[in-house]
Amino acid sequence: MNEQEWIIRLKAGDEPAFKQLVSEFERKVLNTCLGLLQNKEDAEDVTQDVFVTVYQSIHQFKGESKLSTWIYRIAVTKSLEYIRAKNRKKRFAFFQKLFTNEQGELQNDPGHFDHPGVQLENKERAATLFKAIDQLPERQKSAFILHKLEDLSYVEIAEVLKVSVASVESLMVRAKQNLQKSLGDYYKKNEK
Amino acid sequence: MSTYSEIENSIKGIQRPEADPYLYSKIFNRIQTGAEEYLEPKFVWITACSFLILIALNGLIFQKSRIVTQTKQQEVKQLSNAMQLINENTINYN
Repeated sequence: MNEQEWIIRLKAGDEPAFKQLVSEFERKVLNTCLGLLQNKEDAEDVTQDVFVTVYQSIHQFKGESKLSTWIYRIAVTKSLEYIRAKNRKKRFAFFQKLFTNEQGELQNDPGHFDHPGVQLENKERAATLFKAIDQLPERQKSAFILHKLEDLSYVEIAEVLKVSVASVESLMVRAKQNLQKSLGDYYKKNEK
Repeated sequence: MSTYSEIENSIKGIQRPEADPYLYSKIFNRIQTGAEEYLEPKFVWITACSFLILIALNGLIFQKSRIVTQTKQQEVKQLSNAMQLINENTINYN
């Protein structure tokens, strides 16, 4: 079944076609969400949300890009929306604590993230890198995750993020510079 | 101490994690339960536009009926003046 037929069947509400789509993309979507959210439960929740959106919005898909590009775009958008909502909740909780004088610590520190797909000998370094990735601005973070975790080319990333290839190159350069800077700060702190 | 490239290479060849074996069932359940709550944007827009048109029509009719009443009152006044229906003996209850 080619992609065009697949899309036609999906638009007709064909359940086996949707099941096939889920099994084809579940790991790709989960990996993207996991890279961006750095929390397994949140990533699984957003993955479900991505496929529900795909099912409900397939009739809006015009076929101007590849189906995979469209799904990656939804995954990135949903993950970033989730992060923003979580940050809003954190800010609200912070102010609530200020006004109510409640005791207890705020959970602002994302903690230690352990990606299940990293080789055992690289776990510690990867955790350090993920902590630095989490500090990157949204677009740099998305481009870096799609390139490094999902192995997408700059052209594919440009289609997902709806920017030019030159912009993706610039995002990647800035992301690496920021990572080098924050990892440098991390070493300085650890040396003391 | 590791260099930046060593740290960056730590995620090279990273494996995609296994998805939840019940993922499809969970998604399908969410679609089925959410289907009752989910409204197509097209439907929402049509309903909103219908309400706006209805409100505008109501306003228009209300304004027109006010103009008609005012004109009728003026006509009655003019007619009563012309026919001298109001004189000093008429009791004004206002």
